[in-house]
Amino acid sequence: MSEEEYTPLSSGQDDVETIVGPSVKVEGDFVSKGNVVIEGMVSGSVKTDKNLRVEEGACINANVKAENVRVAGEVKGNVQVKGLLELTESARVLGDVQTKTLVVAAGATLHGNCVMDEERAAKTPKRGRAKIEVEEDAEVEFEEERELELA
Amino acid sequence: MYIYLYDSFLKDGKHKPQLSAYENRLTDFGIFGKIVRITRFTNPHRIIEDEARRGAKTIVMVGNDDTFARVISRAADVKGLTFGFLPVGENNSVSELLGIPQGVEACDVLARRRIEKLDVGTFNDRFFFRRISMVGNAFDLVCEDKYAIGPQGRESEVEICNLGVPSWIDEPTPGMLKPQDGKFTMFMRPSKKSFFGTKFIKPSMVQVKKIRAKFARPVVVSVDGVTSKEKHMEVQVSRKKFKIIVGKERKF
Repeated sequence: MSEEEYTPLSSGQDDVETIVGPSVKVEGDFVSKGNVVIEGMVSGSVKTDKNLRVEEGACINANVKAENVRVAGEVKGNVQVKGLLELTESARVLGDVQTKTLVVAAGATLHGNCVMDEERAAKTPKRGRAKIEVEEDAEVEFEEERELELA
Repeated sequence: MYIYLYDSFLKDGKHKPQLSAYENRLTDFGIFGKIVRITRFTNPHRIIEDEARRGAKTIVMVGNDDTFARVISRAADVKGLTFGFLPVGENNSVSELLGIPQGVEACDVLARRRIEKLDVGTFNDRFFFRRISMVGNAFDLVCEDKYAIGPQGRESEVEICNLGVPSWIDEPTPGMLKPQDGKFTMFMRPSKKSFFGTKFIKPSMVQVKKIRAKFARPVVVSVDGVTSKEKHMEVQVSRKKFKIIVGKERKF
């Protein structure tokens, strides 16, 4: 969307608390409790309790934390999402992402680690080895390897 | 006890019929009281404090937007009082926002005493109720002492609104008109000059409680319609500090 073409501020924005328009720059720790739309430049950190939309042409040079995030612009930083992270075809994310659900459109760019569903990852049994002390010259018979359930 | 602050422009004969109608109606309701006349040079804070000491509980401003702004800018912090407003003449957008109609129906609103506690803002050393407006290009506004927001080299109109919205917003959403949420809505609308004229770029909107800024050159700032040149500004919200009688048709 070019700078000149825009819909009026009040159109379809009933539930949006913050809009950072094009040609506006935000620097620092930005915190909000409502829905946020970013169309300009943000550097520092961005945190909201609700949804975040990064529109095409927007550039965020910050770590991001939100309930749900939709990215159509550029994010250089880590993205931490409690619910859904959606990357559209014009999205560029350069950083680690952590989310419960991930939707990536064809053409989106993601450079970084991706961690999903931390609760499920924590429940998966891990392989481990028990420490055994053996006296010198003792004979030891090994049984087949067993998986240990770690708490 | 009701105290009525009459603005100086009401001496003009053309306002006499409306004032008489008000006075008769207020007398019928039994809420007519002492009249105190104020001018541009009167200190409303001192007058209101004196009347409060004598037992006044309700201060009613009689005039227009300018009257309202002048009284509130100095006297919003006087404790234990409820304010009211009776609009007379033109330039009365505040009464519309508060749901107070023109004409004798305004006295009915006053008699009903539907009181709301509203936020009021401080701008440097004075109070404001509606909005602050300014235009500039070389500033960064520091919000909540946590982040700075500014136009990227473009000239911008900035409006910090407590009640009401900028004139360039045709249909304000309910979220924009909340004078009781402890926050201001700050609008920033950059512009772009070209051969064909000035075009405006999509505005930004942020909810803030505290803003401060220093300007390299003095900037013309309009605070509730009163214009001054400022080199710095500190704006803060005082939540639900101001008690005022409002009408059913208020815009919030």
